[in-house]
Amino acid sequence: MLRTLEAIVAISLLATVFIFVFKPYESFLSHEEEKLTKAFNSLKSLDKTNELRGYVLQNDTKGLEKKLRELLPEFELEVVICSTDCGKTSMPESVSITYLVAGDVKKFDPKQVIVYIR
Amino acid sequence: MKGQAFIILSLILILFFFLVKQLDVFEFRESYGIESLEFQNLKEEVLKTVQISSPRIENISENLNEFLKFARNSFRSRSVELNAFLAKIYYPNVTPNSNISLNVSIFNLLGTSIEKLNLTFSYDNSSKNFSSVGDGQQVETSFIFNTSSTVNYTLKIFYNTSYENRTEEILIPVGINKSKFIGFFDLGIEKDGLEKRDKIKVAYNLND
Repeated sequence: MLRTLEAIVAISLLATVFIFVFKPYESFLSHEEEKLTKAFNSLKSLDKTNELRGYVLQNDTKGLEKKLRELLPEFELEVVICSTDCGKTSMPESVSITYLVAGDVKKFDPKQVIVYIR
Repeated sequence: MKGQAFIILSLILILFFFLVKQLDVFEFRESYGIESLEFQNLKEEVLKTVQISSPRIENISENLNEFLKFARNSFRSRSVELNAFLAKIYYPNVTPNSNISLNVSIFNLLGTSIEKLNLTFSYDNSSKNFSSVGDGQQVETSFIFNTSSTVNYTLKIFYNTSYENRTEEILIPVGINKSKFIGFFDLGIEKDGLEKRDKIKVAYNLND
């Protein structure tokens, strides 16, 4: 009887610690990942409709930001289009995704699009 | 087993959970999903580079090297190491019963020197050997073939570095009155000791 009680105490202890240690941690990361995946998929869909490369090669950061805000109204976001020196974001506590673009149709001009979101 | 043993065992397991958490094992696995998306984007843009740069072979070769160096810098800024091995094969318009040059460029971006590189062309089993091809370096060579009909050849590539020996076989489809670019791109990203690697093969007609 006492042995069963001790086994129950041990299992409860393990379950409690497992839930408290891992659950909030993983759900936080999943949330971040979900945001980034949505941003990535939005960039990809703009790429498929041939809009993304136009914005990128013209360095039209504002235009791309506006388009992404329409697709991702739930997030605050900032877009950086750059070649090598990309600087830092002015948006604290944000996460970012990078999308590489090799060029457009007949013009090789590699750029990276960094989307910061929170 | 005494009942207290269950409690002691559970305390040991709890300690283990905390250690695993400290090592960030789960954090890495979660965040690796984003790098997978970025890796997919990289592979698509490598193919796009070929498409954008054709039909001029000089452009294809130079732009691929430039794009991968650019991508490596971009990944590095995110603490991800990008490594690549590129084989770029090109032949000009094939006229029946004429000697045609099969041009091969190997670009090493593996992050380490290729100690030994051997290329063997199936047409006549001729071989070319290179040694000490440093990271960021390219070697170029050519083979000769002569055919009167459509045929498939193979280029066998063997290379070794300080950490691996690799053999790759690349199919080279040859068509009469065709000029082709054939690319083999072995791309990998690495973060905190975990690696994601993929090989891309592309054959592109240059005179269509």
